Amino acid sequence: MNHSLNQDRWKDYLYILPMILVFCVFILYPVVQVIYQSFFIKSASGEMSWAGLGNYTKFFHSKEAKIVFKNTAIWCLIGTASKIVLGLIMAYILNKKFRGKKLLTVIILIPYAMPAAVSCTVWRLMYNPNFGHINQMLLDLHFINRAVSFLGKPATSLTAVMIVNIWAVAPFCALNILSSMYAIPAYIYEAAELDGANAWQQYMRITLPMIFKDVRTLALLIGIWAFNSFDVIYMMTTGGPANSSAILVNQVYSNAFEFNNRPYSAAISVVCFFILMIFAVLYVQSKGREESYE
Amino acid sequence: MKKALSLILALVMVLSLCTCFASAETKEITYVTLGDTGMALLEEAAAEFEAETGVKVNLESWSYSDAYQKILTLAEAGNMPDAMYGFSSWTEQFMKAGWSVPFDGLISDELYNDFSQAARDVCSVDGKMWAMPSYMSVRSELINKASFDAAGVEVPDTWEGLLEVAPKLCNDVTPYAYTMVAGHAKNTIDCFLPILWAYGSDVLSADRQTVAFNTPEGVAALQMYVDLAEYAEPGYGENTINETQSAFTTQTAAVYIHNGQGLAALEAAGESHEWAEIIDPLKGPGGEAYSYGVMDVDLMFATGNEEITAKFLELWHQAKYQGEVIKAAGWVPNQASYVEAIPAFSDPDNALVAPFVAMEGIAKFKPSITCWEEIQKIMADHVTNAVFGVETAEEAWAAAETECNAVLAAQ
Repeated sequence: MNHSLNQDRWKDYLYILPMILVFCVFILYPVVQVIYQSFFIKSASGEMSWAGLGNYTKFFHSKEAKIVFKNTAIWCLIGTASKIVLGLIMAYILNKKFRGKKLLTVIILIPYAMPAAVSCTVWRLMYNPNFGHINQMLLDLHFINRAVSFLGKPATSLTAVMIVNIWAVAPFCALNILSSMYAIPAYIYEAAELDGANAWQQYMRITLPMIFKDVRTLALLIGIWAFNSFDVIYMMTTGGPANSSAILVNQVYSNAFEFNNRPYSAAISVVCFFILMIFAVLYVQSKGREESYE
Repeated sequence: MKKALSLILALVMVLSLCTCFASAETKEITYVTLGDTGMALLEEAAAEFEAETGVKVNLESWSYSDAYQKILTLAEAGNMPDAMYGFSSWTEQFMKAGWSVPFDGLISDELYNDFSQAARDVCSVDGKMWAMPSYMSVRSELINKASFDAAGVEVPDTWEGLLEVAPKLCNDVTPYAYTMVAGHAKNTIDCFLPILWAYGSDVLSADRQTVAFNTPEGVAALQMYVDLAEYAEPGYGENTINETQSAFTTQTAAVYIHNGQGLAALEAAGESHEWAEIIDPLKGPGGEAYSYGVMDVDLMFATGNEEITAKFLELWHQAKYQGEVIKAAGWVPNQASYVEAIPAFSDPDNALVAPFVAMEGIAKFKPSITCWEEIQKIMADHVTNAVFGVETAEEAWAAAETECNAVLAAQ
C-alpha cells in the first residue's frame, strides 16, 4: 500500500516536472542572476567587480531615486484610486436598464481594447501644443493664453500620462466591478426596497459592501499593473522631461539599455521586485478570502 | 558489422574536417546600417563586392532609436555584425570594451589620407583610428528671412542680438522666434552645445577627467538658452530635433539650428524655401562661434573577418557609392575624393550644401567618451530644469557638475 502511494507521489512530481523546469530556467534563474548581478559594478572595459551593496546605496542616495519613488507612489496610488472610482461610476451606470446600454458598453470598452501604441499616439496628438485639440479648446475658452506642452513640462507631464493610463484601464475596472454587481442576488435589493431603502442607500449599504472584496482584489491587481506599466510612459514621454514622469521601471530600462549599466539596473530591479512582493502577498491573501452569497 | 561501423565513423570524421576547412574561408559578412538612407547604393556596392571577391555582404537595417541597445546586447553576447554604421560617441566605449578593432593597417593609405584631418581626429583614440568617418553633417543657424523682414530687424550675428530681436520675430509670418529642444537628452544637447561653445565654455576639461561647463561663461550660455525659451515654440519639452525641423519648415518658428535636411525635404516636395537662409554660427560675447559637427562613423568589430570587411568598407567609401548618398542627403563630404568627383559639393550656387561645407573648418564635435550617454542625460536634465524654472542656471550647472564628475570618476 505504502509502496504504491510513494510511486503515485513520484508520478505526481513527474507530471509537474516540465513546469518546474520551465519555472527554473525562465523565472528562477533570471531572478537569481539579476540579484547576483546587482552586487557588482561594471568597468568601462566591461569587467565586473564586487561592489557589495554599492549599487543600492548609490541608488537610494541619488536624486533620481527621490523623484522616481515619488512618481511611482503617485502613479500607483492616485492612478489606481482614480481607475477604481471611475470604474465604480461606469459600472453603476451600466448596471441600470436603459435604451442603448449595449452601445454604451461597447463605447466604454473602446479605450481598453485599443492597443497602447495607438492610444498613446492619439493622445500625443491631442496634447500637442501646436495643433492639439486640448490646447485649442483651452485657448478658445480663454483658460490659457499660450499653448501648453502638457507632456513637455515637468509640472504636468506625469499627470498628462496618468490621464491616458486611467482612460485606458478604467473600462476594465468597470467590467470587473459590473460582473461582481451581477453576482449580487436580486432578492437582497427586493427586500431592501420593501424596507423602503432608496437607490443611494441600496448602493451604499448593499452594493458597495458586497463588492468590496472583489474591488479590493481588483485594486491590488491594477496596482501591480500600474507599477509595471512601462509602455505608456515610455511611448508618451520616455520618462521625461528630466525624469519628471519616470517611475521605477523606467529607471530599470534606461540604466540597462541607455547607459549600459546592467548591475545598477539590476539593483533597481531588485528594489522593484521586493515592492511587488508586498503587492503580490496582499493580492494572494485577498483572493483567499472570497465568499459566496448563495 | 564492426567494419561497417568503423567505415561510417571514419566518413563522418572526414566530412566534419571538410566542413571545418570550408568554413575557415569567409563567405559572408554582415554590415548594419541605420534607417534606409543610401540602402539602394549599399546594395549595389554589396553586389559589386560579391562579384569581385565572392563574399556575400548581408545588409541589415536597424532603426536609429534602438541601434545602441541592440548592438550592446549583441556585443555582450559576442554576436556582433562584422561592421556597422554608428555614432562617433560610441567609439571609445566600444574600443575599451574590446569589441571594435582599429582600421590602421587594414585600409589603404589612399583612403586614410582621403579623410579630412578633423574627421580622422574625431575617430581616433590614442593615435589609432578606431572608427571610419562616415556621414558628416555640419549644423548652423537657419533663419526665416521673411519673418525678419516682417519684424523690420537686421539678422543678428550674436546670440545676444537674437535674444534682443526675438520678441519681434513672434509675428504674423512666424508665431515664434525660435524652436529648440529641452527634454529629449540627445537633442537637447545637440541644440545647446553650439551656444555653450560660443560662450567660450566646453563640456569636458582638457584632461577629460572632469566637466568644464560650470563656469561663469557656461552659466551665461545656459541662461541664454533659458531666455530664448520664452520666445520659443512651446513644444520644446517634448520635441525631438525632427519637431524643431517641422516648426521651421512650416514657418512656425523663425530660427533654429540644423543642417540643410529640412530645406532639402521642402525642395523634394516641390515647395519653395526662398524665405529661408543659412547663416554663419551666432557668436558669443567673446566673438567665438562654432558650427556643430555631427560625425557618424563605420565601426568594425572583432569577428575574425576584419580584413575582408575593411575591403568592403573601402569599396563603400567611394564617391560613386557613399559620396552620392551624402550628396542626396545634403550632408557635408569628409573625403577629398568626393569633392573632386561630385561637382555639387564645390558649387557655390548649391545653396543647401555650400554654406555648410564652408563651415566645416569651424566645426566642433561632441566628445567621444565611454560614459557620454550618462553625461549627456545629466546635462540635458539640468538644462531642462533650468528652462522650466525648476532650478536657476547656477544651481543647474552646480548640480550637473557634481553628478557628471561622479560618473567620470567611476570610469
